[in-house]
Amino acid sequence: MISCSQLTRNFAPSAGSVLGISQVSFQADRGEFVVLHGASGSGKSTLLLILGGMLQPDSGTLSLDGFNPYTLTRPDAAQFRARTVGFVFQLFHLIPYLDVQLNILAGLPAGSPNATSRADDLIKQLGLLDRQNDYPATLSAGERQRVALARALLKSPKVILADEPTGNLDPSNASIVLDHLDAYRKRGGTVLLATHGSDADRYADRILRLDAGVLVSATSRPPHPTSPR
Amino acid sequence: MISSFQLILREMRHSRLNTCLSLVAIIATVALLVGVHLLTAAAEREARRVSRDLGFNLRIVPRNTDPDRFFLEGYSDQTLPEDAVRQLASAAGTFVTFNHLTPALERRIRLQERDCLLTGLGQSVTGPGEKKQPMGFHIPLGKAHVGFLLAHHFNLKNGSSLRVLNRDLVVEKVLLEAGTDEDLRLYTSLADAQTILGLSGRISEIKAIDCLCLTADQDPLTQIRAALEKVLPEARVLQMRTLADARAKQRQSSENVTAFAVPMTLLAAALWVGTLFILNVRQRRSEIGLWRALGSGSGSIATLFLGKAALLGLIGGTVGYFVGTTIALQFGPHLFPVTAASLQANFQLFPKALLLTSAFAVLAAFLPAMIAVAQDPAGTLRAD
Ligand SMILES: Nc1ncnc2c1ncn2[C@@H]1O[C@H](COP(=O)(O)OP(=O)(O)OP(=O)(O)O)[C@@H](O)[C@H]1O
Ligand SMILES: [Mg+2]
Repeated sequence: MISCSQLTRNFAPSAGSVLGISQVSFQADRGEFVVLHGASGSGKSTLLLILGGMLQPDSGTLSLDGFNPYTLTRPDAAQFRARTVGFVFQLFHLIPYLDVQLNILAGLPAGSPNATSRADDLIKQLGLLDRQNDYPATLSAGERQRVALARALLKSPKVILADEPTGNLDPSNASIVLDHLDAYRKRGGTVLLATHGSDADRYADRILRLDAGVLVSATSRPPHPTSPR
Repeated sequence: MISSFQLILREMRHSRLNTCLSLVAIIATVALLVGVHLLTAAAEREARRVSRDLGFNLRIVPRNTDPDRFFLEGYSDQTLPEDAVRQLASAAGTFVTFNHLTPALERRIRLQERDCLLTGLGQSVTGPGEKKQPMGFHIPLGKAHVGFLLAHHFNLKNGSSLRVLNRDLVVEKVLLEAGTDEDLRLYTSLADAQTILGLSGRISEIKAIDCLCLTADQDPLTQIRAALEKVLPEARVLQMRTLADARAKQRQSSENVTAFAVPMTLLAAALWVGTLFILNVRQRRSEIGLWRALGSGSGSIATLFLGKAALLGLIGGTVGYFVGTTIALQFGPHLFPVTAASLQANFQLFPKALLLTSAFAVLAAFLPAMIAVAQDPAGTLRAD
């Protein structure tokens, strides 16, 4: 599903060059739940953005569901993203002028069949029923995170790239979010979840670790025997 | 998903302040431009009307007129065919420098032991591109306008009858004291004067107001003469230079003011509206990144931004048009009392105002939106 090799990306901020990621190679299969660990600034978000077709790597190759989004034309790349990738951003990125329900629906192309009823189901399952007509500015960080997750789940993408989706949540909310991702994975989706914490480890098929932009270890067995799987 | 149009409306409601400021900017600009347009047109009408009241400044007389006698007597003792007026007017393309052409026949006549001046005035012909405006001075057949002194000598009042040689006339108007030879003048229709003088179909001069386009240092007379030479070689032209020059200067200066004020207004408004749009688009960069991350095409994202601009342009253009028109109609009549009645809303301006305003707003939004759309979504997503 995801296959990348030698992905490298540097940034050129005001002074000098900053390493984003360097020579990252790995694969994730359909139905796999991959957790990406790493300290702050180690390049987790950078890697996820590259994998999602949203940040052009300096070098390296990427194949997502058989395509390299960076070789597609702009309209094709946009369609490809719409179809293939669900992104849960570290900073949520909700649309400020749309209420919860419309924010969730914003993930879908116009005219998708029974979108509203599926969105309502997700709203119920994620405990957002009494907030569905409220605007992002009035929501708590945890609620925003759940809206962002619902938006990604609604379009049933092939891959969900979740950047710190439980960082702002209490344990019970974190479990709700992770359970949803787990259920999605069980339906055949691929999850790549970046986090500092260890909440997600028990769901992981594989744990990757980034250190200063370099992939330093890949554990393919969950370290905790308490995994619900 | 909801339509782009609803997204635009929701966003406009959400960012009320920006929307209001943009609208105010657009409305103010359009109102100003519409108002200025209506008022400059009014000012021009007023200036033309007022300067017309100053009298004619071009006299086109038969070529064989003896200049010495012309100045001594005040009129040409030669004649042209009456048709010369129409000849001049129909050659408007080449002889563009007149506004009003009035055929006249002037002679000194003897009226009950007294000398006086008889002037027959024909129908005015207006210049090309000029709305038909009857000259202040149209005298119907059988009527006369009598100069102040003349009326005094013969004890004439409005409605008195007056026999001039073989013709009976009714005094339609006794003119106010002018302090010029007009006080000793008897104005009749051209046809009456021709009958009285036995000069059927003839005129002694064509009085004209030139376009007042050129000042003295631009030497308008040479140009007018050259043009006349082509159209009506049997005539020559005399210009009352100081009068013409003063008018041309006045006119040019007011045109200069408009030529300066309108582009300056446009520029200021362009900067203002442009800045507001750029700010709005910059504020929404992460939103653009998000739409792209969600897989929206560049076209539908551009629709959100350019559509908003067009909508603001349409609303602002409409409101601005009516505000500007209302202001012009409210204050115009006080500014231009003489031509107050002809100050009216210009409805042809409305579609133009709408089209130009929305086109301009779209243009102002285009650049920042396109820059944002062209970036990697990741770059714009980090914009928060
Ligand atoms: N657009 C950018 N311009 C300059 N530097 C950047 C940019 N994006 C990322 N970086 C740098 O790249 C490095 C990796 O950043 P990244 O956001 O991927 O880290 P992260 O692992 O997600 O950190 P965190 O856990 O804090 O979210 C950091 O040093 C960061 O400063
Ligand atoms: Mg990050």
